[in-house]
Amino acid sequence: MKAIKIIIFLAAITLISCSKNEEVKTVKYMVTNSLSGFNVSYSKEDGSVVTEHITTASPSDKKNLYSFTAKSGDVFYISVTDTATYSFPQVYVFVDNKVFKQNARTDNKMMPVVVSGTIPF
Amino acid sequence: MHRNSLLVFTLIVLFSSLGALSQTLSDTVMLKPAVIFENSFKKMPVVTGTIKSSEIDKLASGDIGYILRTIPNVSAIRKGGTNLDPVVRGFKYSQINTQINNGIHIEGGCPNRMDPTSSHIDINDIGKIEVLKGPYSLRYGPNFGGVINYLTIQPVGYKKFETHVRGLLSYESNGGGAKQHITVDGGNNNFYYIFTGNNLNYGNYKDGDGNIIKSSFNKYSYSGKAGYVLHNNHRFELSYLGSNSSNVLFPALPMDERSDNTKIMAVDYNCGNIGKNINLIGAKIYRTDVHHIMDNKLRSNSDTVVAVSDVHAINTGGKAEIGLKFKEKFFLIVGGDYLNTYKDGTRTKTMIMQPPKDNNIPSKLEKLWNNACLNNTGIYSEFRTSVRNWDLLATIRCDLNSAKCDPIVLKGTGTPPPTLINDSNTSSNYTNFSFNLGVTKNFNDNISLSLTIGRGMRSPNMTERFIILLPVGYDNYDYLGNPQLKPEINNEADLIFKYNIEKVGSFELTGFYSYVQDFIMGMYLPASVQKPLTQGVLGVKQYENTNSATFTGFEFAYATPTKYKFGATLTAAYTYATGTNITMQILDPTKIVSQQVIGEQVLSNDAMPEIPPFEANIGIYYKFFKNKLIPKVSYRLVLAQNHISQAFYESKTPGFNIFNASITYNLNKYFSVTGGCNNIFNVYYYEHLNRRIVGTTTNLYEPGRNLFVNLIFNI
Repeated sequence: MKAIKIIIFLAAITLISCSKNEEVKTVKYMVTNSLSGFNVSYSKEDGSVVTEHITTASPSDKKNLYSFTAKSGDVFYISVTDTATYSFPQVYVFVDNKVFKQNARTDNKMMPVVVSGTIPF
Repeated sequence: MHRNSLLVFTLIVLFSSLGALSQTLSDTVMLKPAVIFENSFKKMPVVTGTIKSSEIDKLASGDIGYILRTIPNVSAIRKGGTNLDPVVRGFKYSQINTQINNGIHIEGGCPNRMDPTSSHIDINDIGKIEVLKGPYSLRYGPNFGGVINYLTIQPVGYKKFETHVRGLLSYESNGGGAKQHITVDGGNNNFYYIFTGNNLNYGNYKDGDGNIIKSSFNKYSYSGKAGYVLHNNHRFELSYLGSNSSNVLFPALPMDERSDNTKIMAVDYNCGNIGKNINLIGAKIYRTDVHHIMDNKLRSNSDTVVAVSDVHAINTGGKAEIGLKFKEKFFLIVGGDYLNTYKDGTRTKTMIMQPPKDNNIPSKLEKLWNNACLNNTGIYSEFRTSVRNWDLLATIRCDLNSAKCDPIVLKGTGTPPPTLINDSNTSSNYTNFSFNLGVTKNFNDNISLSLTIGRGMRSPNMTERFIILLPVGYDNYDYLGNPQLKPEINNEADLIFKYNIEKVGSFELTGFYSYVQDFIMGMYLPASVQKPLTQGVLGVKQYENTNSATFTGFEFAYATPTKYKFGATLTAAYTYATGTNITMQILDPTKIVSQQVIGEQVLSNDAMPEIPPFEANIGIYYKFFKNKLIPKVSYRLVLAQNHISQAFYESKTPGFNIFNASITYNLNKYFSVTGGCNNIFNVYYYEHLNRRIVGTTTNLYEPGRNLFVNLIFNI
């Protein structure tokens, strides 16, 4: 009897001291359908934003820009500017290898293509 | 998952070992309760409602507010699946003195009260809930409209050292809610202890029309209490409670609770019958610490701005009192209490659609509270006596209340940030006097009539004093605090008739009338004075003392004697509340979507907002096989609420009828099970106090049909 109670007591203590592991997700930025290249700004794992120019060989070129791990609720941000008249880049954000959000350029070539939000719960 | 599995395993071990158990509870000795704060209202002219853990075990709910609704004239404001905010006779928020274990106050983190006091305690840690209506229970602190006292489970003592375990497993079909609870307690004549653990995982529930309401939540909590009894009933007790919740969704609020981490610590000392004239002495000190984080990440507007609020609220307090008796019939209690509340919080807005600035996504920090601090020191005295067939109760209380915060500024909205209220105007000091007098005429042992009159004053709370432009009201306005508000005063009279017939049952009928002076409400500030910070609101209101309001109503309760196999209960309650000279903002009727204020109108009489309609409940049960099997059915009738506030743009709420049924099977003293169905006919309905879903005109509907089962082990 005592043993059972001790087991129960220990189990209860263990139970309440456990905390759920926060689920970590993989996030990936990808840009395609750019004629020759684009300027891009994107947020990194630490929240800072980097800006760079990426060249592409053809619109079918798929540029995987950055991949990182994040927790649910973390903020992501990517902005692509491609001023070539007939270039319509498409921007994808993958979460755990599935497209979570996407956007594409319109006829307004000066308007950056922004995909931003928070990692889903 | 890991936690759940472990608890299931624990309870399986428990259940499988039942046959080997031979321990009995016959050796228990009731440790003297905390007599200093023991509720002595049974014979007092105060209307009380009580719920015990044995009743809670037979109900389906992961929330205390839902259980409180079963008390006549106690309702609750629903904003999500849990954390319902209680309303007593139409009084709410700080108009009710809500506390834990006779005096512990908790300041919630959320300005919109997504975390009222009840949200920080698990329902299965509750031993008893007491609701004391009216401004009469002044030993519990400043009391304006009533006291809700959540008493956690108190361990019993044993002649020899023993340990006992209690477990509960519960499941609800609507939303797949699962609840686990375990209690380990024991001790002997001198030492006692109790440890509890709770885990709740509830999904989104469906309303009666099959719509999924985003209302899921996860909570876990743990508590420990240990006491030592010296000779002469001197008792010391230490207690600690930790409560955690995460991802609690509130479709009727602009944000969801992402996490809440609360710690409650207390030390109690009390003793009784010290000398001829000293009946009791007691003292308590405590500290509560709430760290609350909420955000809009599951809202559509988070695509442009991600807002995260981080609030820290700390309460530190204590109380001490001494009870004196003279000639065995005059009782005098003299005491004092102290409460310090500190609150600070920020909201970080990340503008994720705007171009980066200095290699970062633009963000700004806004203050919700700016190092706000509130102190309340009270002294009180209660006198009680009985002369022939008359009982007399008189209480007086004086509170010194002061508050201060740093200047109320709109940080992040300019350089330098605009100051709304400067440093010299953020402090205030009040001296509040409250008192009551009650007499009971006992016509015989079964019939009594009581009349109680009282005046309760409450100082403005943190939100009313210091909130910085947030939509915290029922209406769609940003609210601005006002540090110079005067206290609100409730003048109330209760007439209580009690009739107990041994063979028929007990009746209780109460009528009350309450006249509130300096009622605190929001008053509109034109856009030229102050523009709102929140998108989509109608403008800004600042808290002001308005004119007067009256609350009138009754409560009726009847219960058959418990000695019969057949039993029934009947309750009914109603409150009618009206305010005078209330200013209403007139909205432009041509702009339905983007509404605008185009004028004002003073309403000489207007209904007070968020007042529950008439409600009646009938419960019938039958005890089979020497109380082993007890089926019960209940019926709830709620009439339409047509007396609605124009100034707050309230809508009429239709009435509804709800049927529930349950059956309890007490297998033996170790094991019992209750199963049942709430809202049997899957009625599609909402309570008048349920808030609207944010961004819509749709009310938050109540859960549809819900099957539940509770398994309880006692070893």
